[in-house]
Amino acid sequence: MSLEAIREFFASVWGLWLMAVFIGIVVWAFWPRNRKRFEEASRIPLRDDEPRPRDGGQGPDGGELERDADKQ
Amino acid sequence: MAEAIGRRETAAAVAYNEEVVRWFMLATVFWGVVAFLMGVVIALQLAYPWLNPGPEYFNFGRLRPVHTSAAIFAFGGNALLGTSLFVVQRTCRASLFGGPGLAAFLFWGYQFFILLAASGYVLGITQSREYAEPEWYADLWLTIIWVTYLVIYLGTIIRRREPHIYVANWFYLAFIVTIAMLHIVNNLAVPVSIFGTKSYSAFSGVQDALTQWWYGHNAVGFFLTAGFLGIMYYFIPKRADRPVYSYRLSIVHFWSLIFLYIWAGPHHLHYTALPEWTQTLGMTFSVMLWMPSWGGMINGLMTLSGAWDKLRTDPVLRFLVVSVGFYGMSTFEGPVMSIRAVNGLSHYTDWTIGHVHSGALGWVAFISFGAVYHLVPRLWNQRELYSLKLVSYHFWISTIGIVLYITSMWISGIMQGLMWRAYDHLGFLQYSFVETVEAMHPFYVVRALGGVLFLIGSLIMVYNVWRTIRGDVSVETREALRQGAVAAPAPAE
Repeated sequence: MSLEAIREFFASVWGLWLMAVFIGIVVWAFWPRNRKRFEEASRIPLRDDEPRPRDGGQGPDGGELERDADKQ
Repeated sequence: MAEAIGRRETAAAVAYNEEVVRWFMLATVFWGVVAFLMGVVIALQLAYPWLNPGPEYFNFGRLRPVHTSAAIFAFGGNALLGTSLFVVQRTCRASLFGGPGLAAFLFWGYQFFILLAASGYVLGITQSREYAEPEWYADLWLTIIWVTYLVIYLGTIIRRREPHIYVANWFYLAFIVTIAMLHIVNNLAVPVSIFGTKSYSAFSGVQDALTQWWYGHNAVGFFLTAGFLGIMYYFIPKRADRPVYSYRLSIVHFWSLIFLYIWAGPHHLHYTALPEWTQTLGMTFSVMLWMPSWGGMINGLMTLSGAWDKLRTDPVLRFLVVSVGFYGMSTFEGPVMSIRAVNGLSHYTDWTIGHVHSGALGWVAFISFGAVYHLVPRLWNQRELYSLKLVSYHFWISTIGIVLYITSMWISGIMQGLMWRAYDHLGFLQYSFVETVEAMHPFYVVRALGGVLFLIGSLIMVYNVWRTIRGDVSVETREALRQGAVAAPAPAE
């Protein structure tokens, strides 16, 4: 197989391949089992070392109370 | 286990480098004022040509790149570098890789690049590539700085203590990596001599044009969009004190933006020597960009669902949220203008300038103001800003400024485009070029007025930031804090 033929083969499937990767990402993002993980991840900026505004300035762990409350 | 570490040990164990973020925030405010001032100057030069008296150093042609670079790279760039270094440390629960020394090198090296570039423009040293005007010596210096930035950022992510890399970091990282690629390829050039400033591009003809607009549009896509989306995904949830509306949507938002944006450049070259299929490709991908743009906008706005009342009491959040509204508006307008038939009317007219400024002032500047106002009290250990009322004044004055700016440019641009293509019954052009210039004059005056208002707003910010750093709290803010109207944490011990 010449280099030119290899290039041509990849050029012909490249669009499809990128499309497949993208669809794979979307499926992964919306896979039901991943829901909890992503919800957890979305809270990363909120459980910072700053005290939460609603905890009355109790300190870094203030956010945790609220997180537990969410689970119930 | 790892998560428990992330939650409990941060305050005690990780010594965040906030010194460099403080410098970047001050640089953001400083360069912001410079950029807006230069904008007012060149707007007035267009409205009143006698303001170009010579010598040539201060004429419109020399000062225009000073304005654009100051706005994009100095103001926007410092906002991005500063916020990204803050966000990556906080969301990774790790201090900056490379220590304070490397971070300081990044800060001063970047400021030096800005001065190197701006001094070149005034002296007439330019590659004449839009948004890539700096000549080869400045480009090489920026490459060193940018690689340093990548090393610091990536190194911090690698030594993170939070198992998941938060989505804001994806956007920041895409911005850093893509800008490196764009900058290097678009600036491939051969200097005439190592002692001279002049260089010649490695490309020629239409390839050169396409390389330039591949760079140019992705500077919009990855510098002015992806980078600032990083700000959105951290600061809006933070300020609203609720997680982003849909984290899964943010993943799809990220990847669709990455897959689509890189193809959109050819829409800058409609009706040129560029092959028509390439123009169509650029146009199609630009229109497809509606989806991620609006997905992202919805994600940002809906983060406030259930907390819309905060917009009434917290002007900082108002800056952040309205910026997302402007993001939606200008990313709606952009694809429309990329359609070839529309572009035939809009290209080379003031409509483009209006579009750019609804993005630059409404989206980029507003979200940066929001981030600065959120960060300054935290970085200088104050409970809240000196005055939230002044933030409110800043917000309304700048918003009126933007409205004046973009409406005048829309009208002027569409008028200009229509006058250029008007024929009389014999098939001759109906208007001479100078007649179109004359017709634009009142709109140029209104535009300059809009710019003046935006500048005044930024000066209010300077005063507010300065008083905040001094540790002052106005009576009205103290009252608001007492009533718990704004989400202000106590300063860290």
